[in-house]
Amino acid sequence: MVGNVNPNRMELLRLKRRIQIAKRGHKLLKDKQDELVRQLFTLLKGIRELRAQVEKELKIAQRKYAMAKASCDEEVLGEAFLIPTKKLHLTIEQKKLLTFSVPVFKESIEGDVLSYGFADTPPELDMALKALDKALKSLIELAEREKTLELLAVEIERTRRRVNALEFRLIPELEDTVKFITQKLAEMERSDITRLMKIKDIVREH
Amino acid sequence: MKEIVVIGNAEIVEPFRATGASVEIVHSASESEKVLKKHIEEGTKLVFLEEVYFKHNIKLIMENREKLFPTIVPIPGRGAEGYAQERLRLLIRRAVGADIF
Repeated sequence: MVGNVNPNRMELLRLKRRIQIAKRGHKLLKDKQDELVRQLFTLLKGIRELRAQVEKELKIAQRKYAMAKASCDEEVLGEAFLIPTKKLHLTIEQKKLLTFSVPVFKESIEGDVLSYGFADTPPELDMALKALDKALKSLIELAEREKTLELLAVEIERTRRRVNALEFRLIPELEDTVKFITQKLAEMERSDITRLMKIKDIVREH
Repeated sequence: MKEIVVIGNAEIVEPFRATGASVEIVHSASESEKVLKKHIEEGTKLVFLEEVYFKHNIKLIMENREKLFPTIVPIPGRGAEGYAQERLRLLIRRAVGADIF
């Protein structure tokens, strides 16, 4: 930027104003980044435990279902899921988090997960479905928290890039240019004075 | 437009039928990609995707990660164990610059 700039006072004033704006923007973005990181830390508490718990519950359900599948016909299992009485509705809202929105899931669950006759189905199937039913609420909560975490992480990354671009590229470049113009103007001023002195000497000689 | 969809192998996702969620049974990674693309276009709100297919479709998921919907969440299955945790760890390391997960 230093190379192709007009070294005059107007340009100098314009650049000084730009530096002021850039510094104010940098401070605001830095504050935003700090707040985002604070929110990330708050959200992070418990998310790993929640995922571990959900995974454990789902694995129990999967194991029980595999046992149920091994101990009865596929047709019987197919019939068991034919008309589920459980109704799962998801109400989705959006919550504003600084500059972006995050989803809020509210589930409404009706009915029983066991919607079949117990005569032909193995008890493992009941256990599998009960375990899955238990995990479902936590799974939806996990989905909400993980999505929020993901969006927060993306926003932090983006803000950090902007902060770094201002701090290490734009502001130093502008400051260098201001320095260059100031030096150039001082040089021009000195050159004017020297020229005037020289002219004065010549005039005095004649 | 569906609210909740579970995508994965039959033995992993079949029991979800009883919970009232929609289920999409897939048999291969390429099939999972097609199904996932369809749900992204349809605007499904919440997708639970088996970990192994989540890993396979990570490029597609990353392309849509800034969209609010669908929220795509990995669920454990056969293969790619621990991928969900590892992904979260990576996400946080990229954001904060340190491994705090």
